[in-house]
Amino acid sequence: MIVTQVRAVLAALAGTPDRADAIRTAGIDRVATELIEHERQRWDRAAGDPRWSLPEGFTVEDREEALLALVLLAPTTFDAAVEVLRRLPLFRDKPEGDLRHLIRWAHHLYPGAGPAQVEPTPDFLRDALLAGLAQPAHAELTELLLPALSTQDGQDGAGVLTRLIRAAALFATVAPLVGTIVHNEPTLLPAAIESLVLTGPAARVVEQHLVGGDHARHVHFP
Amino acid sequence: MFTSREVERLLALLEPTPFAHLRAALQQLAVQHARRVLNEDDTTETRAALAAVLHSLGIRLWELGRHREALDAHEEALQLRRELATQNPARHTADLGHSLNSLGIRLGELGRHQQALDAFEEALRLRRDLATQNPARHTPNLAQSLTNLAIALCGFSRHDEELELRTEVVVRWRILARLDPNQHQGTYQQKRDRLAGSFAKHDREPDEARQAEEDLAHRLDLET
Repeated sequence: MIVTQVRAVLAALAGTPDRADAIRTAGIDRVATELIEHERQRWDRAAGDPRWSLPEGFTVEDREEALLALVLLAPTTFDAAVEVLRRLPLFRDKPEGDLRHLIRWAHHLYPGAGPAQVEPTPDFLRDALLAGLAQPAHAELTELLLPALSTQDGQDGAGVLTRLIRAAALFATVAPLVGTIVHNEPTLLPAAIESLVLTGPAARVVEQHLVGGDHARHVHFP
Repeated sequence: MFTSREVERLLALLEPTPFAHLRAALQQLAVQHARRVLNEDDTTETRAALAAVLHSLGIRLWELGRHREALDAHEEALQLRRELATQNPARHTADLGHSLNSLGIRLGELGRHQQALDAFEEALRLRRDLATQNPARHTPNLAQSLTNLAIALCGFSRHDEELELRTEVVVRWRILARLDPNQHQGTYQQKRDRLAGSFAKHDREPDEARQAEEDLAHRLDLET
């Protein structure tokens, strides 16, 4: 249902009749790509808004990486959000004030419950953003962020897994990220299975990434 | 920490889902765990526990079409249960019957009909004894073994023996229905209807099915 609505909105924004027709019948990946393209324009416009005082040194790509990192790990406080950004080399040495401006900008775009939370809605948009994160262009970003889950408490890891598994139900390219997380942190396997069961058969694509690894080797029975 | 109880919880969680690969993987974890426990403490209980998880693993692997591995798991479970039943028949014979029955079904599906027949015959012998001791508890399994052996005999064109066993299925349910009509009358009627169909399949009259049932019921009544 939501995909149909997104198609209709994107078609209305398409500009030309041919493009609108193409979007009305587009597959889900194309719809997601079009949606993210529109969102990028919104990110750019907001970045130029003096309210967020974004330092000029941040490129479009830098901002996008920051945004995706905050969407993926969903930190709930400013300190945690700064910590998330510091995991990325390009933000490691930046002044904390600059990072806080970035976080406020991202929160403005996708406001969550707390002032530092970044929560895209509807779910389709969040899933589409996570699908984008699974693209090769962001491989380095996910390599840096996903192993870091092992240093977080189990709840955070479980939350990330839940978001990714739900996204994988729509976008199969997300599924390998779930396998990577569980491979890095086998104690998250139960959380992954719980999310999988709750998400249902649509997330079947994730299953092979959970059983294909050698998680059993890492599992310790008391 | 990933405990064996956690594995059991996750298996229960996955039970009604289509995630068969995960179920099998977790069952393999359960087997690893049971082996480790057995290595540390070799008792009747730890052997029985390993046999139980191997039996389940056989079922899981079979679901995935991994037949060779499934048979290996079933055969190892069978071996363990044979030893356990020799030591303590009262406690372990029912499980041995389950293992023989499962193995018989798998062997039959692989076309190894003589071995399947042997497994079903052995299971039937065990379950006859069990049902004699506790009819209410063991007669359903006995009926299952009778049916499985009947199907196997049909494959060897041994139709008289097949019909005799199918008749006994009906009579066994009839006895249970007499003990607890609310619980078993429906099953008895269903089996009775099927028996008439089996007789018809071999060009025998429905009346012959009724007569065979009465004769066998009378004979079993006399025996008991």
